[in-house]
Amino acid sequence: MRPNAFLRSTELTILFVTVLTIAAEFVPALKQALATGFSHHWIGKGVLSIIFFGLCLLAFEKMKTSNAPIKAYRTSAVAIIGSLILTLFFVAEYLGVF
Amino acid sequence: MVHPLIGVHAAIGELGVLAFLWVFIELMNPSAQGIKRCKKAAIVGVVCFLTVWVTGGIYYVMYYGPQVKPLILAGPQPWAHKIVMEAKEHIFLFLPFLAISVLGAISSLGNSLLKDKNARRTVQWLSALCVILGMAMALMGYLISTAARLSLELGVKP
Repeated sequence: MRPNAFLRSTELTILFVTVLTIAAEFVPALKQALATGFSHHWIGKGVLSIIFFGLCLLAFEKMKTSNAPIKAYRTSAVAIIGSLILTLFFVAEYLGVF
Repeated sequence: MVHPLIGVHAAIGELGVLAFLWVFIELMNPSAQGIKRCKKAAIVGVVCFLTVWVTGGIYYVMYYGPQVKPLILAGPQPWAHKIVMEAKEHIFLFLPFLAISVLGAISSLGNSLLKDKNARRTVQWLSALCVILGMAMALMGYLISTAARLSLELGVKP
């Protein structure tokens, strides 16, 4: 398995979790569907993120670009920005911005 | 009484953080033996973070949601759940995948990490991120526990 496949899959999974979390807060039906399908919305997000990561890993493994020299800056930036977006989102939600 | 599962969750999480700190330090001055140790440390780190995911998940769904969350929300620091816990439970989901990336990179690159400085720096960056996010999780857990204790001390009824 190529190292880049892991890094790119991680980046996309972080984006997936971030988008899914915020979307579930704005669309109650989505949060309810996750809760109904997986017994709890957080478990749903976890299970879906594992499946998403696995699919990304399989897809990136077949791509030639995965042979490029690996760089962690993008992965690190995605993780830090994803963390900041989620934190700021919940701060804004608490303050009643949405 | 505090549920023992939260102690197990926190202790295993700290062990995972230490494992990735080990990977980071080992790669500062790498050797063939060091790369082998790195891989073992990364395996320990991944197993720890996956175990933390399961133990934290059981605690969150079975105990925190029904018992601790209402206590915090009715207390003087509801932000501890509405901001800190909400952010913690979702940002945590990044951590196992970052940890798997570190293990995947070390396993794929093996001894080429000895010559490839760029790849080595990449693995170090990601290991450092696992350490920083892991420590952030511990700090957030402390804030949440503090809010719950404060509610208990004040005799808050959910």
